[in-house]
Amino acid sequence: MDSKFVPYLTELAEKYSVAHGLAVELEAGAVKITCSKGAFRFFYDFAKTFPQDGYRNVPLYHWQLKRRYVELRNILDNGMVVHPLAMRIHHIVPRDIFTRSLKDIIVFESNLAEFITRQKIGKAFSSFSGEVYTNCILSTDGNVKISMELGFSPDGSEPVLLHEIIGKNGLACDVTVDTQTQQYPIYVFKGKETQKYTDIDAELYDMENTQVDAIRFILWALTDTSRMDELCENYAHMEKVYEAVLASDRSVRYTNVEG
Amino acid sequence: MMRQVNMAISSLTHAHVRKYYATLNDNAKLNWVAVSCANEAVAEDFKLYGYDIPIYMSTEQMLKEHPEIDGVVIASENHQHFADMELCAKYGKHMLSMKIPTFDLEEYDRMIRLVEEKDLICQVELEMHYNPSCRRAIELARSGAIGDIVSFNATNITLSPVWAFPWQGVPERSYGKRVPLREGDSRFRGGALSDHPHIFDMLRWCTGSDFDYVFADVADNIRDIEEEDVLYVTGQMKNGCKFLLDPSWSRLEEKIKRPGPGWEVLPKRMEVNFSIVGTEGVIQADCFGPNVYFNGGPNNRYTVQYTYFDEWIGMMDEFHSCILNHTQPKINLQWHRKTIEAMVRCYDSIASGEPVYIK
Repeated sequence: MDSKFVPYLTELAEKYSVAHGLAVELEAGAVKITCSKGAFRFFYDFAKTFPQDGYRNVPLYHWQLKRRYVELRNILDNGMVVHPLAMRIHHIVPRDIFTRSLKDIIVFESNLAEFITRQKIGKAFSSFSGEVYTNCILSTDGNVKISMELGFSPDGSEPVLLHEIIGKNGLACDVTVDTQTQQYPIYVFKGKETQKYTDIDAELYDMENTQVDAIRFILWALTDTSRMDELCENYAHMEKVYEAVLASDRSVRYTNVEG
Repeated sequence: MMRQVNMAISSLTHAHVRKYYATLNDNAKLNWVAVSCANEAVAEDFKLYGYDIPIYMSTEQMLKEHPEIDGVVIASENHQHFADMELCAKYGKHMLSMKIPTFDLEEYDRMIRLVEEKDLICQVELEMHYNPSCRRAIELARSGAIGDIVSFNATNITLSPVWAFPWQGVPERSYGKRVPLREGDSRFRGGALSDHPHIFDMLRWCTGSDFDYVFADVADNIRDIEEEDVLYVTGQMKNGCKFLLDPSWSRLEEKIKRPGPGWEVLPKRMEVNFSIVGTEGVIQADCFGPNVYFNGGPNNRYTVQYTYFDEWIGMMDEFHSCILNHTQPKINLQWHRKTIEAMVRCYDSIASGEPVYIK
């Protein structure tokens, strides 16, 4: 994590009176918080089993606080695009601290699809290439069909990310028409190397975007601790989705998500 | 000077037929002899283009009147293709088939026999082979630029042609017969999947392999039509390569009767994109981009104005060469059969809810 992660998180928790006496400890794959509201381990390594040691283990769904995904959901919520029918997801990225295993990507995108559509995944078909790549077709309880292309690319590669929702009256997408790659707010062209800057949060200036989202997510969860119950309940469901995805690959069958 | 090949177009009802008008008119290797029209409305529409080409209301009449015709572009509705091929074979004419010769695999085999027995050339219109971005992406992948290919993912997503070309919205005329998508579903085969064979074909070229199994699922419809308009396909090739294809009509359109400016609602009316994942990297390719953009007439919408190189030029050059040299084209009926069979099996998968293996 960035050296500013802990000071920024503490500062904003204080500023917005989210919790008092916030103490933050970073561990591999998780952020441990002790504060007036309790002790929590916000974990983002979804392939790792964390101890039951007095900290409540809560999934860190940082994507739920990413503005672009929040706005995709808002487009549906506000009826700009109505009646979602299908969703296309591409997520092929180099490994980083938030993306260590295929399970991390599967949980990320399955949860995000549910978050945006406000529906639950009920069925999965998948086809894996080892531990590095999988294609999936998922179906929700509202019959939204979701195609997913998920995997890893070599270190230093540009991320391939796309989320497109097809609705009855149009579509919403986080990649603009006629482009194939991510766009950035700032480019610096200096010979062979092109520098890109991604500053989008004035309060958390000069931080990598996913870490910004992680701070925002922890603050959001701490604001109302009943949200922890929903998050834990959802993670149990995500585990079932993941199991169905794995089972489908083994059986080559369209597999129901248990529960 | 190279000998011209004498060409005719039949029916003029296929959505791609407009592309042939320009190519046959402009390419000096081709001598555009005549057209036959499926009906009076089609004939009247053709006259509006202003080409000085004889019009016949019967394909057979056209072939009788013009024995000099070497080849015929069979630009008819899917269900009409076999009858048109029989006619061409009867008169010994080489054929350029539309992208779906037929979905009836027995009929398809009869087409193959017709062509073989009469020793005719039959090229299938899969124009993406003559798209330079497509060609480069496939060449890169096949040359090992990204290591071994792990997955070939592609979109062929467009607006729906059913308002401008109503036959594509009629199951019997598009798929060849009325087959329910699945039990309890009010829709029938013949929609978006039937319109988009290109990415199935490119998958075979890119991986150098054939289909092991396909799995497909269909979404609820965007449009109030009898056929599917949004679906996804995944599966595996016999060499283990994975794939995920989107052949949907997921871009909205105005319900206009003649394709032209303002047809699209989304700025880009048609996309063919590849995402080829290898053990050492990823190739992203947009076969129809980047472009130029405008807003203004007719609906004041932000719109993509395409700039890609016309694939029909290369395709017709190959047809010309095949006729002169009497060689079978790259995309011939035999080659294309496995692509068509895979598409039929996708429909079978939708019907059963399970993957379908292909022998």
